[in-house]
Amino acid sequence: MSYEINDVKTGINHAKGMNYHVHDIRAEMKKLEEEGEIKIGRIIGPYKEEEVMYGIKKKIPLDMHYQHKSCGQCANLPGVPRSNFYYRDKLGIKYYNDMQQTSCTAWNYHASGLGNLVQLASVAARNWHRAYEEGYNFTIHCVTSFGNYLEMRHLLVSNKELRDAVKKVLASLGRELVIPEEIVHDSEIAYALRDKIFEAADPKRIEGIKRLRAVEHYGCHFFKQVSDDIIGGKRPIVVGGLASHLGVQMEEYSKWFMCCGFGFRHILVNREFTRSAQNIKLKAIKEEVDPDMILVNCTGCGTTFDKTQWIQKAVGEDYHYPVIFYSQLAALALGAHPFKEAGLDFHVTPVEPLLDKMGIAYN
Amino acid sequence: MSEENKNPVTEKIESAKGGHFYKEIMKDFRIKESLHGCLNCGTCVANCPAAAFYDYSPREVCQMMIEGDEETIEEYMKGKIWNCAQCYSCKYRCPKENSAADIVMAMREIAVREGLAEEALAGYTRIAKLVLTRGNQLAPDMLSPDAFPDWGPRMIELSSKKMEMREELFKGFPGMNVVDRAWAAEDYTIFEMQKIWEESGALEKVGTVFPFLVDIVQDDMDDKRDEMEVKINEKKAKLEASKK
Ligand code: SF4
Ligand code: SF4
Repeated sequence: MSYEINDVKTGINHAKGMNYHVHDIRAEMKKLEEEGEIKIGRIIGPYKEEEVMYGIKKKIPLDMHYQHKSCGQCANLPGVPRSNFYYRDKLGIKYYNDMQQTSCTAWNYHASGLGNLVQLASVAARNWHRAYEEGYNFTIHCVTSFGNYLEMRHLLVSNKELRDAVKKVLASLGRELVIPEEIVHDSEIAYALRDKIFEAADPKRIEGIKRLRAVEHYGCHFFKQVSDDIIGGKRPIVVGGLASHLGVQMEEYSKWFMCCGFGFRHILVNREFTRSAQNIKLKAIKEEVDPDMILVNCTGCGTTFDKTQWIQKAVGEDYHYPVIFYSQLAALALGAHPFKEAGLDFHVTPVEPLLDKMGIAYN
Repeated sequence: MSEENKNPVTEKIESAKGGHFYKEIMKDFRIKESLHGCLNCGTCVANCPAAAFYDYSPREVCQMMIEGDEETIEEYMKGKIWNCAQCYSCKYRCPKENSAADIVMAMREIAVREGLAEEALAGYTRIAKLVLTRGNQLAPDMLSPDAFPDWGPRMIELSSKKMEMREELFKGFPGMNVVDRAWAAEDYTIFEMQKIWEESGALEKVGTVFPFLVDIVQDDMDDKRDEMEVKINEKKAKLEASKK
């Protein structure tokens, strides 16, 4: 069944009648700022407002992007950060690829329990402060980081003890607690820029994109860890929204909600679990849709879907769905070379059939 | 904790129940936000990937904490908590807005602190080391095909030409084409990260599982400490000046 993005925006309208339940982190942050408890790193330059839960407007910055990178992407799917840079170059967006940033360390934390909340929140705040002191908007490549920073913002705002402990650590580094006005994932930015991407796209590439049918999968930490600050309400829409704007026919499948099986630790030390969870998802995708590709926005899910299809032969299944990130699709639309600029040759599930269908040469 | 933040469910059970692990878990301030009574409805279980494949249940996690059932808590502390995929599907779907995911996270922290995580973290050394010495969690040279034979033939193909491909991909993007880390974070940045682990007490905790790692980090820090502290002091002075 194909669907329109507006169909899934129900979470917003539904929540509008539930005023008693509204948790407005932005108002809480303003109050803390007035009390001198925190600073807010305000959006710099133009922005676009998009609706999140309860009809609250989230400001998506359209320029001056601090690129908070994903270690998993840079190491394993380097075509993703490269595509993130690519679409910005094409649209004339200024960005900063800082070498004074660290990983968010949330993958480590959730997998191992090593670390603690003061450490995790201090690492977050140190990275936020880098963007602030350089005069950029903090924007995030990785879904694990995104979920973690949403949660750290929430915990820092709601708990004075944690806030004080983190401020002390930051002071020992000559830094201060500056919470960004908005915690923004790169896929939200690409969605907010969908008109611009479409206008700047190569018409030939768009022709190819229009031939494609796809399903989407969102990282759990994109919308389940903190579920009230994502565009579209309770169910995310940004990846399918961008893709369908560019002409992809988006299809629904029954297991869209289910975790991909990454599991943070399972992908390293217990891949039987990962493969089993994958088999459930892939089976539903095959039987219900059999799409041309699986669209993702999360480092862990992208890795899991891409790397875990081949081994399903062991249980008699044959899956071969190219796994494409939202920004790789945007880069392809804008004319990127599929390998040299979108890095699709780093994926282990073959992407060639997809490129053939799109009429894109790769050799 | 302000009046409105008080949670009647956790307030009540806190005062009534006993057991060492139970008491330790209740100290984590996230628990108050993660337990609001439980309907025993099983919605969380139906959405839980870990429950689908293991003897593990987010409903049981919430129930054992409400009951203060030390025996079951111990079972989870000593092994079952490591089955959770940390996907937060339970939290998203629970009609009472409970979060087994957060309770498990608090429990994993305690398991590490109390020396119960050795088995669960076997095979985790390289990542822990990378975090503490490079400021990253993953590097291209960690993804060798012999460690991931189930990722298929393209992994083997990739490993032989990966570095050349990266060079081509990141032409004009300094700091991106590195082998032993995800990007070339500066020494000063890594020192700041190590200092965060030290100041927050997290480094000491690492010592319960990987004592040798603490020595490595401390040696590394001592080597650069004088030089780095000069930089930090400059930063502190600049921050003070900006406040005036
Ligand atoms: S979904 Fe919530 S209320 Fe239902 S069993 Fe699970 S924890 Fe209890
Ligand atoms: S976070 Fe853990 S307990 Fe909750 S649904 Fe996911 S695997 Fe199950």
